[in-house]
Amino acid sequence: MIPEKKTSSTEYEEKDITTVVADDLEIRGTIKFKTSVMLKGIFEGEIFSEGLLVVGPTAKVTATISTKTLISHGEITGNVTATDQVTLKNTSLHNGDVTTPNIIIENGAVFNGSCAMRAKDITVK
Amino acid sequence: MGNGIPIINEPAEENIVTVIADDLEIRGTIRFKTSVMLKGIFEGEIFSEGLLVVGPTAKATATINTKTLVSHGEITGDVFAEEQVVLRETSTHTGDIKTPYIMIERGAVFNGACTMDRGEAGVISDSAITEQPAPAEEPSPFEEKQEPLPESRQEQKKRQSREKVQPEEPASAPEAAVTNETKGEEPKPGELL
Repeated sequence: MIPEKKTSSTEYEEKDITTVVADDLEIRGTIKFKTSVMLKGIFEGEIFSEGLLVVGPTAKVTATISTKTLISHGEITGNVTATDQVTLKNTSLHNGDVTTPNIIIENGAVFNGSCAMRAKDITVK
Repeated sequence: MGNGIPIINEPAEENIVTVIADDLEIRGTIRFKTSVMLKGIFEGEIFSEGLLVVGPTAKATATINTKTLVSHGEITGDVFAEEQVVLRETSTHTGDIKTPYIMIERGAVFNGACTMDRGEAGVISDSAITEQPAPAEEPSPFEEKQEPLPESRQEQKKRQSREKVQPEEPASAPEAAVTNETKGEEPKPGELL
């Protein structure tokens, strides 16, 4: 098995997420955060995160995403760089490239794009 | 979308028709209809209408055309799977994947492009055959700026597809797809052609 420290959990609880952006909210622009954000609405722009980004099942995100961890249940169009891990859950749809040391794609997820991993060189801080 | 996801049916080793042990090295082409487990070294081409299992000790450098691929080992090369690709946690995959359903476990390493097309039934194999499954790059506007490596590959593919423009002939045998495996690309909105 993979050593525990290398991977973060793919599970989370919504109440533990610092900001939940509800599904009736549409954002265009740039967001930056350090802890955790769950998007449930429409987002277009850029996301810079040092923490956890959760894309909810109702979310539509068109963005360049730079984060530590991404968990997606929804729809993402754009390139993603995650320093820790990317998880595409079974309802997710991802169009764009992924660069990350750890990736999990669940059965049922759709991923169109290229994936670049250098598992041995990327060390998670 | 949740419906119709193929269940991963990975038989126990003793139920696999052919098991190629880890001391065997094969270069060339293999074809099979049921199930094969590779544990040794393979270089060449694989044409399958069934299940290919790449064992944890296996190293396959191959163009793979199969119904289902389950990998625990190391694969270098492009894969077209009609039904499903499963990359288990110990697997390393370098190359492009075209399949309607994919599952990648935590710990698996995947470097390459993934193209998934599961529109209507039949579209998958049709598009694979007529449009040539060079794993199309994304219709992403950010592509050029960010990804030097996929970019250069895309350049090659662009060149190839220009040289080898073929009329669309709806073929249905999976073998037909194999010959087209490494070239051409699937037109997508936003694709740089």
